[in-house]
Amino acid sequence: MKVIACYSMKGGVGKTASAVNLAYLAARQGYRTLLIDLDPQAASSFYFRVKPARKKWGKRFFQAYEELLQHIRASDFEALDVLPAHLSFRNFDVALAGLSKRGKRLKRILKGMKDNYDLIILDCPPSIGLLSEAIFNAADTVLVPVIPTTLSERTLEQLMEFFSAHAFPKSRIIPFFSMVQVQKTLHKSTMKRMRGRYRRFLDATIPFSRDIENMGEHRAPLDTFARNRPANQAYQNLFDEIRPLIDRRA
Amino acid sequence: MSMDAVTPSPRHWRLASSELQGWSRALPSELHLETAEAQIETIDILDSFSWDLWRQGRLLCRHGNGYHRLCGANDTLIAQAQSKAKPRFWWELPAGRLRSSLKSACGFWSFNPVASLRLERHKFSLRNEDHKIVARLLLARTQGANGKQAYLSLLGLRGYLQEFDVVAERLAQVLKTDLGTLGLQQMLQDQGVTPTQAIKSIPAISPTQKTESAVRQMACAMSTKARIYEAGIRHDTDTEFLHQYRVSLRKARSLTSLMKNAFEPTTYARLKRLLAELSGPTGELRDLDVFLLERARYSAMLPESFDAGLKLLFRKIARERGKAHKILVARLSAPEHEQAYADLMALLQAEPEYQTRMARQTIDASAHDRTLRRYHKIIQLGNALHEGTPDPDIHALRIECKKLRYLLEFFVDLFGHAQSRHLISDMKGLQDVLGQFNDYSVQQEFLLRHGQQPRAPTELIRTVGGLTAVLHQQQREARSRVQAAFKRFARPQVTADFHALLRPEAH
Repeated sequence: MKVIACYSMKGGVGKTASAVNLAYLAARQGYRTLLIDLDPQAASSFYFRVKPARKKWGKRFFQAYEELLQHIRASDFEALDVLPAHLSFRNFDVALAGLSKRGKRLKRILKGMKDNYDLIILDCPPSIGLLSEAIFNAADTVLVPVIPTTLSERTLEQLMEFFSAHAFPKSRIIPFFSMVQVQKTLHKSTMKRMRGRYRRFLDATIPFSRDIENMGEHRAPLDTFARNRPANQAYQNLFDEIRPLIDRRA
Repeated sequence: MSMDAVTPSPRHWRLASSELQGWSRALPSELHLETAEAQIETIDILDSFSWDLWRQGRLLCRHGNGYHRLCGANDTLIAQAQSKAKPRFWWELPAGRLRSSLKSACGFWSFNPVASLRLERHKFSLRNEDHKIVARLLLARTQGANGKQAYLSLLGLRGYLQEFDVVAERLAQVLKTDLGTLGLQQMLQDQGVTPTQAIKSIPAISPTQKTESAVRQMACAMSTKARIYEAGIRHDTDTEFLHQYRVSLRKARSLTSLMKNAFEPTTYARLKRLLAELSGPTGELRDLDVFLLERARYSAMLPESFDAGLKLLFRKIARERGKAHKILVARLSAPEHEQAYADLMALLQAEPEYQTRMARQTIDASAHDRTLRRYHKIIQLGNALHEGTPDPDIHALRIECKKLRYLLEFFVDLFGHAQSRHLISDMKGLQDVLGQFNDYSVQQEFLLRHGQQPRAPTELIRTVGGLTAVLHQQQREARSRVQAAFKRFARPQVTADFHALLRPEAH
């Protein structure tokens, strides 16, 4: 089982769209996939039409694997389950602060699911704190969408520094360009510069697309309503590129 | 808690024709029923002659596009493979799990269509107010000998237990026949599909039954069993029909021979003649079949430079096999064959004569007595083994072992299944090595008989020579292992087990 976190400390960069489409494409390829929506805004849960439980349970999230199992819902698609977010997830940092071995909690809980899933995708909230540390420990790969702008470049730098400061292996960070507008000179030049600086950037790039925006309207992954559109093809390319990471033996 | 605990188990109903239209009206109004897709296909069910797969609760399905799948209970997939060539034997399938599963389940039996089912499947989704699927429904309709049948299955989704329970309760109120489980086998049974070929086991005998009566009853069942394989031999369905035909008759011959003192001598002589008359003409074809089935083993014995010779040899044997089959079919179709069978059955089914002491003795006493004698004979022959024991003496030991093995199998009901199995497994090592010794000898004779011909091509002569030399070596090697195998068989524990089972003091 592999764990991929779709993470950026910056909001609105395409984390949720990536998590939703990659989870769907993986399941379609036969990987038993679980998408965990860690963002209290619950956007990926919304895209899959999965409602969270009424009860607040965020406090117990890191305490027992059994608790998590109860909240998993099947999506409408074969081999794809969703653990929907709850508003109480906004207090994750507080909940973790009160726990011992908090850095390893998420990793340990996810390990309990290794017989049931081939892949777990984490849709992460845009923040950096105790939850992020738990995520960086638990994930085999931290997939970072980067809009090719100066601000996003800075955010990636900050993430790299955070990894160095906390001794997380930087090799886990796999960035890719998101919301790319090729007609913009700034985007083109930033992409060129950043690719020169960070060798691990994926070749696949996700374009800025109305189809991706429309996912909210359709409440479904791109492949179900825009199969032959460039944005869907871009996610397919992204999945093909990260697939060796999923298949790689531990 | 396991993952299954949060996924509801499916529910299944058989629909009466009156229920076919109304079930959807029973669904909760807050859920929207959406038709997803319909699929119509005809599935061929393949099985061996004696429906081995069906009897194990398995189904081998062939779909229209050459997709083969082997399913267990409730259609759980065991193995699958794609083959458009309509394979009939395990070795005709591509390497993989299906091939190995069928190898152990069917052996040399071919698998052929035994039933066919036209299956129409309509899938439905039940969506909530968010348009999220919360349960699925599957309407299956079949058409066969019993007309049309329909089934409705409710399939739950992980995390939507409450919705599942509501739907299940509503459907249960309007649908009468709740099926615990549902799979293709159930659907086929509802269409009247059932194993056509019932291979009856030999009927149980009572320990107090008189020997002649019991032996007649058993030999009669064995001879009747042989007949069911005749059609397969005539149609040349596969080689297993002839093999099983011969096994059944050989058992009848061995039983009557081992218990010959239960018959009046002229009766036994007639039985022996009739059984020999029925099985005698089958030997030639069986030898040719066995040789052809072992092609891979023979090919592996010689280097590649012999390939051309091997090809010639196998082509020649295949031609001879074709001829031998025609001759045997003619014999089986002749009135003399029918007459011999009728005579055999009349003789076996006649009232017992009880002319001899053994005939009147209980079968329990006779079986114990005969089996103990065979055991002592084996020990006597085995103890006399030495490095220079002549080959005919080794063959004699093999035949005695075979007789003992048959007795343990024939009278398993009297000896007890567990004990018999235990002793048979103790004999296995010795029987294997003696069997190999004999097989290599028979194969050398076969090659000399069939591989040589006037003006034979040099490659053929070289190949026959090469194979014979290898087989001779293998026979010598098997011969060298006989003494050690006997020693293992004659160890004190096995001796004690045999004596405990046969309890000479009790009989």
